[in-house]
Order: sequence, then C-alpha cells, then structure tokens
Amino acid sequence: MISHHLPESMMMAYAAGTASEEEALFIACHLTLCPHCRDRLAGLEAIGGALLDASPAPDDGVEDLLAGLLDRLDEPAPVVEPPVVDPDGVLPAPLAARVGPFSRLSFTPVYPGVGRHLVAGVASEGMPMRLFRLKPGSTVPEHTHVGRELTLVLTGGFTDAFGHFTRGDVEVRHDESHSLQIDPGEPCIVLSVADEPLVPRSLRAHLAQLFRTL
Amino acid sequence: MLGSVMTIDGQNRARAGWLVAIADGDKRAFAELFRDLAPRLRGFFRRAGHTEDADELVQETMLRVWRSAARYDPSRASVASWVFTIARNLRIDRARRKRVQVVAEDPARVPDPDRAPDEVAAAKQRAHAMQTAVEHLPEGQARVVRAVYFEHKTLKVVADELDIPLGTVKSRVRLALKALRQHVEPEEAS
Repeated sequence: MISHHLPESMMMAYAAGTASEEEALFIACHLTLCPHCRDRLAGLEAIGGALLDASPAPDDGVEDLLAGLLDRLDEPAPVVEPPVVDPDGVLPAPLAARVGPFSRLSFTPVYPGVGRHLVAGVASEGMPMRLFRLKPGSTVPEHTHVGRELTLVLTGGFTDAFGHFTRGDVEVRHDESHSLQIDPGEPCIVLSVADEPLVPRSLRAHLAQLFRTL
Repeated sequence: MLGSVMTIDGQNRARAGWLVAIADGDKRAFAELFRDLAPRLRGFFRRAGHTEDADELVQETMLRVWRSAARYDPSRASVASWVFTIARNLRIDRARRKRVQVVAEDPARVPDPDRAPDEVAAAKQRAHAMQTAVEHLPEGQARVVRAVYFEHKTLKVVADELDIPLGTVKSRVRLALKALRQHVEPEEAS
C-alpha cells in the first residue's frame, strides 16, 4: 500500500505537459505503481478539458479546415513501436525503456553497501538521474540533499526520520539531511533525481555545508 | 443556470457517441465532432501562443482523434479531457521533448481497483459540474491556471510576468485546484 505520493506541483506540471523529461520519467514510474495518483492525474486532465471547453471558439473558415483534413483521413497511420517493458515487472516500463530489464541491471559500488547505476540519456537539462542499490539491513549514514531530491522506492524499503518507504513510495527532500535504515530481506533499489544541475550544485553544496558548520 | 449540468452531460454524450461511430470509420460523425471541437482547439492553441500554426495544430490534433477514437474510454474521462491530452501530447512532440507515459500493458503496472457503478456515475457528475466551476474561478486564479495549462509556463515565469511573489502564485494555484478538485475527486490526496 503506497502511502507517500507525488507533490501537487509536479502532478500539475505533468498534466499540463510542462514537466521536464527527467521529472516526467520519475512521475510516470510512480503513476505505474500508484492507481491513486493516476486518479489524481485524471482529475487534473479533466481541468484541462474544462479549460478547453471554456476557450474562445473562433469558427471562421472551419469548413475549409475540415475539407482539408477529410482528404488525409485515409492516409496510413504511422507505425507505433511496441513499448519496452521489463518482463519481470520490477522496473516500470518508462524506466525499463532507458536501462533495460531489471535482471541485467548492474551497479557500481560507490560506498560500502551502496551501488549506483546512472540512468543515461536523461540528463538533457543537467539533472542527474540515478538508481541506487542499498544493502538490506544496513544503515546509510547521515547525508544532506542540497536543493530538491526525489526518491522512488522500486524494491525493498527503508526508514528515515520522515517515515517508512516501500515499493511505489515517493520521498521529497529539500535541503535536509537524513540517515536511512534499510529494511532487512531484499536489497532496496531506489530511483533518485536531483532538482538542480550537478556541477554548480557541488560548489553550492560546499558553501551550504560551510554555512551549516559556521 | 439550472440544468447546466445536464447540458454539459448531454454535450459529452453526443461527443462520445460520435467517437464510437468514428472508431467504425464514420467520416460524417468525424465532421460533426470536428465542427464542435476545432474552434475550441483553435482558441486553445492561439492562447498558447501558436498564432501562425494554430490551424495546422488543430488539424493534426483531430487527425490523431480520428486514428485513436477506438481507444477512448468513457468511464475514464470526458471527451474534452481526452482531447485535451491529445493536444497536450502534440505540443510536447512539437517541442521535441520526449513524452513519458504509463504503459497500459506494463507487467509492473498496479491495476486500478474495481469501482462500483455508482462511484463511476458520481465521478462523472463531478466532472460535468467542473466546467461550470472553471468558468467561475476568480480572475486571479483563472489567470494562473490558464498560464500553466495553456501557455505552458512554470509558476516562476508566471510570477515574474504578473510581477507578484511566487508564493502568491502558488497559493492561487492551490486555491483554484481546491475549488476544481472537489468536482473530480472524492477525497484529497494525503
């Protein structure tokens, strides 16, 4: 049962079509796992529908537009490629399309008990997107997120000062530090996306850290 | 405005009926739906800043409607909401951004819970009442909602343009969504 959902502002950006590719990927992964947020999305899209109906409706020349289109209706539709899915049903399809099936995912050790997999090809706006694999039963020591960091649990679970998070749960942190207690059992795999470009942020991170210690 | 809910309901029923016929290849039904929706779509795209190519975008949206009519599910959305998502996706495609969406046949997808028929009917009633609610939003709120949905602006840009604090924009959006939400959702998200 998912108890931690997507923030309203992200849902609205996604419904309106303004979310960045990274955000949209993160959101679509949560939506795959969360019927409740799919309902929320339907509500926000219904607002779009109502706004469309409330739009001014200039109808001059509409018959010409229609005539021009009727000729094209018999053209063959473009072939749509079948969507990539993870056959094991672990990774939501939008993520499997980027990183391949779950069974072939590899992680690079970055810290004892922590493996990382960079999600390639979605850093168009400089936002790093990563998968982390955290060792079951371990503790991830206190660390600070500068700016906004979004985390989606894909397998296993963890507990921090803000609650217990399992498959499908979203955690949103702003400039906060926390430590994680990883659930025993299976490894905890999370999808993580940072809000701001990584490079300037590391400098800001140092400054923020400095101000915190001063 | 007694009976306005019925009118909107009737309008949606007519549109849904045309879509069923369109899925069977009925071009006359398509013409009816086109006459109904094309002017609104044109208003939508023009408002979104497409002054030159609004008509071409209208045609492209309606071509997609023609091709995907069989996929319209009346239990999930009104025709207007569904067409809105098609127009939105077209704008994402034109901006050369990659569209990222839930895949219906994804084995990872957690299925929707079964809904009682009266729950579905109640959700429809709320959606129909919402159109009236949209038209009655206070101007300040209506403006920010339109800016996000139509003009594809971030809240930060809206704040800069209207020369009001970001916090004010955010609270207007919250108020507007709260006012509109009660028409589409039985409960608030936690």
